[in-house]
This record gives sequence, structure tokens and C-alpha cells, in this order.
Amino acid sequence: MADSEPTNSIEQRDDSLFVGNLTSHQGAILGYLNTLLPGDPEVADIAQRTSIILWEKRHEFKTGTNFKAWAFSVAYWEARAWMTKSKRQSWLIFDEELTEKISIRSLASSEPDSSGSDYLEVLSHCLSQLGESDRLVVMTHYQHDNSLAECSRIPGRSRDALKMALFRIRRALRRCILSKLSLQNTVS
Amino acid sequence: MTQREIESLLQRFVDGRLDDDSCEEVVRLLKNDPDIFETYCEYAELDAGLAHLSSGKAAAYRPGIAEKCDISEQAREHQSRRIRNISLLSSVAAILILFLTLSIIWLKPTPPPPATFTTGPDTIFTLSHPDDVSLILITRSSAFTVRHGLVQVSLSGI
Repeated sequence: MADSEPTNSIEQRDDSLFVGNLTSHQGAILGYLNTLLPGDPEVADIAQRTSIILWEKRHEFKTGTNFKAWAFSVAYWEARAWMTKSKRQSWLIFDEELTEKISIRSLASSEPDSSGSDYLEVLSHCLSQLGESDRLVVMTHYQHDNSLAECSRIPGRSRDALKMALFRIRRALRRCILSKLSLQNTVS
Repeated sequence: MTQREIESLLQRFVDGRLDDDSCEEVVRLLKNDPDIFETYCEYAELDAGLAHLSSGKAAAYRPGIAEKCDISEQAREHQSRRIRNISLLSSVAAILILFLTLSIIWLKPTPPPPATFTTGPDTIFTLSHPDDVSLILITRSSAFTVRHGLVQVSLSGI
């Protein structure tokens, strides 16, 4: 047994790998939850709780299997638990048919092991291509929990003008992302 | 409905800014039109991505900074909370020490009486003062007369 690695060392290495996986999938988990619960201010907290549950159940994850699918299933049940607890009936859309459709689409939106970190890098790149004032509008909007009131403090922007600006900016960002991702897929 | 109108509807849906009727309309569109469903998913992901980047967690997604996950963020938060609590207690302790120090410096301590006395049983004595007859203390100008019995006087400064 002299060659065997100490158990603690193996556990530390596994934990380190798990943390890497968990970290790099957080964007994807958040995106999935946001698709399931559009406009719900609890999404970030549910994503956080999902991360904690994943960490607590890390020993149940079998290395080599699809981390993203496992993480999404935990996120899904955490979202459902929140809906039940909050007695929110408007699981919108989200009858079984659409929920399943969203889950399948979110899992298949990229390679099974892809974490979504590429997406955020592309988004960062697209954001950097915005003009300074547009970037200020969009970041202020998201930094203050989608509050247009906060954005209205930006000089020279009325509430309606901000709504229009946000619509235009997000439209441009979506197009930019689609274009970059499509280019990446073509190259690879 | 034009593409622009659909996108406007979907963005407001993602923001949670639609009334129930409009939500039902979106649901119907999502179920029946795969392109609209795809566009919705893209906007929902964009929304999550922007929220994530603006929350300052973006660093976790840069290559080589994988350790900065939320778990360690929670640990850091816990630690900083602990540090804040310790700082608060230290501040309170410092204020108390300062208050006590200032009290010692500024508040004049009550001077001990110049003399005290104890008497034995059946002792008869008179204690008189030129200034204040009600004082039961021996001061420099007190007249202490013992008629009968035993008195022990402790002198301090007289």
C-alpha cells in the first residue's frame, strides 16, 4: 500500500475538481433558472441555494458523468420547491411540456460538458463593444435589480428613453452573441 | 406581429413586466413557435448573463480564477462578518476604557474623611463643629468631647 495516495489527498483533489466544475457552471445554472422563472427576483437566491446543495451532495456525483445535467436537475427541483413554498401559481408557462422543453434546450444549447463560461466571455466581449453611455445604462439597470428608477438618475435619460435604450442594447447584445458564437462554432 | 414587437414582448416577459393576459399570449407563442421559443431562451440567458456580470461575479469565469466560486465567497463573507463583529466589540471596549480613563482624570475622587472614630458600649460623647452642626465627621475644626466610655480615633491628615 506504499504507493497508494492518502485518502485526504484524494478527497482534496476531488473537492478541488468539483469546485472548478461548480464555479464554471454557475452562469449556465443561472441562465437555466432565469429561463424557468422569468422576472422572478428570487432567481439569484435559488441559484445560490442550488450551488450549496450541489456542494453538499458532491460525493453523490460520479466523476465522468454529465455535471451540467446533474446540476440542472438539482436546480429544477430547487426552483419547484421555491414555487411550492412561495405558493406562486404562475409557474407561467411552465406546465410540464414547456418545462421539459426548456430543460432539453438548456442542456443541448452547447456541448454536454460545456459550462457556459464561453458564453459569458462572449457577452463580456460584446459589452465592451458598446458605447460608454449604453454600457452605463445596462450595467446600472442590472446592478440595481432591474430598476428603471435607478437608471433614471443617469443624466439626460427619461424613463421612456431608458426603456427604449435597454431594448435596443439587449437586442444588439443578443445579435452580437449569436454572431460570435456562430463564428466560434464554425472555426471549431 | 413583427420581429421587433416579438422581441419587445419577450424582453418585458423576461423582466417580469407583463400583465397576466400578455403572459398567456407569450406562453401560447412559446408553445407554438419554435423560433420564438428559441429567442425567448436567448433573452433569458442574456438577462442572467448581464445580471451575473454586473454583480461582480464575473471574475469567477475568467480562466485561471476558478477558485473564486460562491462557496469560497460565502466563506469570505462569513469571515468578514466575524471580523466586523470583532471590530464592533473592540470599538465598544475601547470606548468603555476611554470613558473610564476620562472619569478617573476628570472626576475628583471623594476625599477620605480626615478622621474616623468608633466607640465602645455606653460611651457618651459630643461632636461639634463651628460651621455645620449636623456633620458627623471629625474635621480640622471639630470639637470632640468624650464624657464617658471608650473611643478609638483613626487620624488621616490631622
